[in-house]
Amino acid sequence: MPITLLSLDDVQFKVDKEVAERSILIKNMIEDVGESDAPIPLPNVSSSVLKKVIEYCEHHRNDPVQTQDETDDPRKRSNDIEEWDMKFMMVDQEMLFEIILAANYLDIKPLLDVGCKTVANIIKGKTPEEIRKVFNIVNDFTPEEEAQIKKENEWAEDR
Amino acid sequence: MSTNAPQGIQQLQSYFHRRIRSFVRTVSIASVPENATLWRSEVNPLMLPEILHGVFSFLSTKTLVRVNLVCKTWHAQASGHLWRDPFFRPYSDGDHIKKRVLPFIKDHLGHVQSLNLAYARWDVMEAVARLPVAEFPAVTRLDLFCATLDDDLLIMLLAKTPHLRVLDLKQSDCLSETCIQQIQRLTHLETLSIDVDLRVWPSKIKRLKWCHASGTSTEEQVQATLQGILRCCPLLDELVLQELQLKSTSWFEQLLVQKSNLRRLSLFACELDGQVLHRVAPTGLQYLTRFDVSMCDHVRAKDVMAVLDACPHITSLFVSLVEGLELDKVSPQVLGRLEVLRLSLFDLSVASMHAILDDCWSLRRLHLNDLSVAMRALGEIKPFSWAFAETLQELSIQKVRSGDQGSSSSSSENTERFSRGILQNLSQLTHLHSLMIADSDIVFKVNVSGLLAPMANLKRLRQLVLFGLANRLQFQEIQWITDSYLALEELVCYEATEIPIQSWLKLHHPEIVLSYPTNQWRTMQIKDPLSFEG
Repeated sequence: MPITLLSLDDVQFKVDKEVAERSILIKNMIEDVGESDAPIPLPNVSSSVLKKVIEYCEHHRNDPVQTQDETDDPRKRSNDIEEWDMKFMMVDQEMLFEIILAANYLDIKPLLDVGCKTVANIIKGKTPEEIRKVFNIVNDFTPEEEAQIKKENEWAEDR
Repeated sequence: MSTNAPQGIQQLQSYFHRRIRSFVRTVSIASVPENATLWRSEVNPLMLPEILHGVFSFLSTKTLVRVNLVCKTWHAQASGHLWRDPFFRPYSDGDHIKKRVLPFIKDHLGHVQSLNLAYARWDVMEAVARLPVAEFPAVTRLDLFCATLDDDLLIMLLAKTPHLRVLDLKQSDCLSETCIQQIQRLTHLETLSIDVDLRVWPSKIKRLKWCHASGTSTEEQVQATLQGILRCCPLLDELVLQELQLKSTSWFEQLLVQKSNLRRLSLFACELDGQVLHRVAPTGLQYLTRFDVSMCDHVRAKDVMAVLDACPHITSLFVSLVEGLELDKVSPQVLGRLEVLRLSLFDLSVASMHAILDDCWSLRRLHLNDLSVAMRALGEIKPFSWAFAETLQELSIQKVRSGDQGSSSSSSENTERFSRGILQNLSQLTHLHSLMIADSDIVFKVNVSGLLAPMANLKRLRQLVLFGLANRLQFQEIQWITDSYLALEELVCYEATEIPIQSWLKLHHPEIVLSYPTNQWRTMQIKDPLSFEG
């Protein structure tokens, strides 16, 4: 039976149960309340974002569930994004952020990971000032605090 | 159904209210800077602790150091991540660990996940083991590969790391009984590399690397140990054996049939009769995805080909010393599913090389080491591209010699033409992350700018290893590399560690790790000792 999802701006999306259940939030909810033909309201996700998220879930509908094995290594890599996912993530920053928030809210771990990797790749090689500029972040340190952190950082600096 | 609907909706609403409340709570914790341009959802995900945690877990120490200075919210998250792996390069500087890292580690114990002490000196090991802390509560990974330590230090360390999931003790043999008991008590252990017989093995072990470094154990002892491992570890998925005597075929054959659900098997430099593999493949190795028979003297080309044909799931293949390997006789379907291929120490025929280039369309990693390869197969410019042009991520060409002798075109002029052709062909590999070219005929014939110019489009390159080139790299060539490869994270060459070049790189490209091609590189290890990759 297809599931109907209802976006923040009242747009309905009909998707296969298997696709909808890529979202652990929706999966748990269907298990909790039982199947029903009532649309599932997603009050934190707008239709434009929900459309993207469904596109991702459709493409990955048959992926195996992530195992613990991959998290063995604390030195995780961000350069192993699949080709399709990389193209999927070629969106403007606003959409990238919306996708990350939606993946977090809907509890879609692989999508959240791809989003985080994409952000990690943007951060790499940039200075703190460049990072602030790209992501619109205000430097809320006093010069003294900044100096203190630089001192704390020394242990991990290049040798 | 319809009568249930109102109740369903009610439950659903209360369900969502619970979720939304928790969501809103998380949001309010994060401080969104007042004058930042707020986007539509009015929440910048990069101010939410849980999202930052996700992002930062993909960043290296080098990047985290800079991320730490962005703002207070980021600092609060990043400083924890910085301590994930505090000894990330222990062999580079033991004094640094003692003076700069250990005195502060106590304040960050909860964040430390990995103690990477491979190759650590005695005094460093002692300082870590004797730290006045009761326990490293979050450490799940301990790497003592080739570290200098004794039983007392090891017992002290293991007592402080009871939650280990990964332990590498390779080449620290002669463990006392107390030590062995301590390891047996590590109930969470999943990955273990060791060279003594524990007799009772932790039951959750999935990946085991076992070898007898001193080479003194008899075949009966090896048999008893392996049977003990199979008995104790029902979850065993990957078995890596090194330098073992497995000559009497019958018991080893039985063992493989008995453990027929193994997915990865490595028999590095083991003494065994290739016939066993040949016979056992259809029943004992049918689920193998990774097969490594590097440096096995008595495994012949026909044994490898028989295994490839009988085991439909093999995606990683590591072979060496297999003269007469005819990959062109293997079905294209078999070649087409290979993702990792490492060939070394034999003559690769023109037909085999063609088979790789034409049929291996899933290849992610290709290592050609210490081989004689028909350069003309690699250097031919064809109207169509190599099968793996869009999948290959890692390529290593080390100590590759031209195998074109005997053909009419053996003049040096031709060799140079083929070298240029090879470099031209390499430029198709647009998905390459890691490239190593070292001590090979190709680069002896081409100067550095000739080597690099055709490869300007390898935009995803993150790791570049170059040594044994015809000329040394000049300053402007290093500049060219960093200007062209914007994703570069690691550069390994002699020149990059010369003082003027090093200072320039540190100033302009602080994100790039520079390394000197040490013996580890020379012996071709683009991997750390604990990576059971492939």
